Amino acid sequence: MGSADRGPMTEAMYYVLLALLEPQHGYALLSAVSDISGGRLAMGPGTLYGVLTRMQKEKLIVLEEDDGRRKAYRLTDAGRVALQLELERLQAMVSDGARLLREEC
Amino acid sequence: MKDRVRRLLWPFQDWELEQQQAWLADMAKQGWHLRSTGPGLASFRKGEQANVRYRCEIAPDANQEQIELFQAAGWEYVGRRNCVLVFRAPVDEQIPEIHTDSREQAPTLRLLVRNLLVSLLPFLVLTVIVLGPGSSPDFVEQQLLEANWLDLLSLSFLLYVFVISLRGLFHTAGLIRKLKRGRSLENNVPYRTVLRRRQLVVPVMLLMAVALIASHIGARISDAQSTNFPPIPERELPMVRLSQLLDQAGYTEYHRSRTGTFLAERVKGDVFNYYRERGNLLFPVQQKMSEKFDVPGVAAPDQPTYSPILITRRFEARNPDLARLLAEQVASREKADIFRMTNLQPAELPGVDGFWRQDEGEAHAFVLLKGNVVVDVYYNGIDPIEQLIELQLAKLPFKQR
Repeated sequence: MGSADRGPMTEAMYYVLLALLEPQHGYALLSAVSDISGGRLAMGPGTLYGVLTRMQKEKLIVLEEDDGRRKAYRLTDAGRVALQLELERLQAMVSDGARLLREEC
Repeated sequence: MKDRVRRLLWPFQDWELEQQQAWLADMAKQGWHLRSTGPGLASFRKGEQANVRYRCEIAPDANQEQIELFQAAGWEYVGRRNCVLVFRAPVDEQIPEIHTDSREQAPTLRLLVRNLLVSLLPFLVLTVIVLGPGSSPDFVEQQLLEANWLDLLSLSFLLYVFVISLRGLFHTAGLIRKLKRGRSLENNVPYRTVLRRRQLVVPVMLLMAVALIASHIGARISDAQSTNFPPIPERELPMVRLSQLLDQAGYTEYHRSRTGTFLAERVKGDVFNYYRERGNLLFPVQQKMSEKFDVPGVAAPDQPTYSPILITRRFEARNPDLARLLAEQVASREKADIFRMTNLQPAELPGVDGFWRQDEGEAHAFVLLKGNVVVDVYYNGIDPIEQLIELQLAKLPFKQR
């Protein structure tokens, strides 16, 4: 699936992609996601593992190195584009909401 | 001090995720902590009573990266049973749930669906083989005469497995729907009724499976040891003997043909002259007699010696309806061979409940139905078939056992 025709991302996907702006090992992503979200999002390891597996299949991320024990993931160009599109979508949603709510007040 | 260990049959199917989680947590509350898992067994170690969260993850194998990731989050890997990985963690707010997004968990259950579909596949294949276009043309006749308690038990066993798999499929589809709606799997579903039933049913089914396999093997061995073609006994039989017919026809000299013995190395007995008795659930009495004689000095149209052959099968059904069903199946059978004629036609014959016949030159076949008795006769000879029918009619019904 191309990044342009992808539906909205789940919160988990979005934050994992954000955390992978810096290549990370899988286990380090758990705390990275929590840090990025200011502690708001405590992602479970099952959710993280599922997201990583799926995004690898969709070629949004790749394994940067594999020394047999620890795997580090990094964003691909497609992943970066998908993240950018998602950010624009979210920004549009926020600005639409903000505008309408302001008008109502 | 040596650990106290308790081994239990694993009472749940892979797809009963919520029930397994609740059961394992309750065992831990009683101080029994899962030590290891096997295909059918769970081993528990006695320890402190504790509130422990157990979670069952569906995965094709125990992937090291997955396990390490879960461990990094505070989850201990306990073991694997089929496609279920079991993890546990204390009830502690610092350790997040394994799945914090139900929608992301839903796809992990697809493997369960795939496995269940694969387990249903043999039943579909079996159904196609049994009922499909390639099935045996005389399947009903074969089943009527051969189905026994063992087959019935095997069938019940297969049906049980089939129903369980089908239920699993619906149950898993329900779980996936629930997750996709954003709801989490439950961890305290009621499971005790199912557990009690399974603790009774699973050992019985296992014993039954072992008994069935042993009986099938036993039946094969006893078949291999029995005589394929036992000699015809001296006592009076409920079917016409070929000698009666030859006597009536006025022959003074004839003797039993021994041509069948050319196969003696491969079979036990004379393939043309034998008498067999057996029975099954629906037809407790099944008798078959084959006789072939040589009549010296008499030439048949195609052969130098007149060698009449008479093959009679006689069945006593549990009730007349079954007998009629069998008679109709036998009369309309589709598979012909050297001593079997097909498509017998209904005909009139007083004193019976059904009569079908077919005649082609010297070969004749007829089926008689009276009450719960069916007689299926094949005769190849130049002597009048009407005489044979009359003689056989006189043998109906035959009470002596």
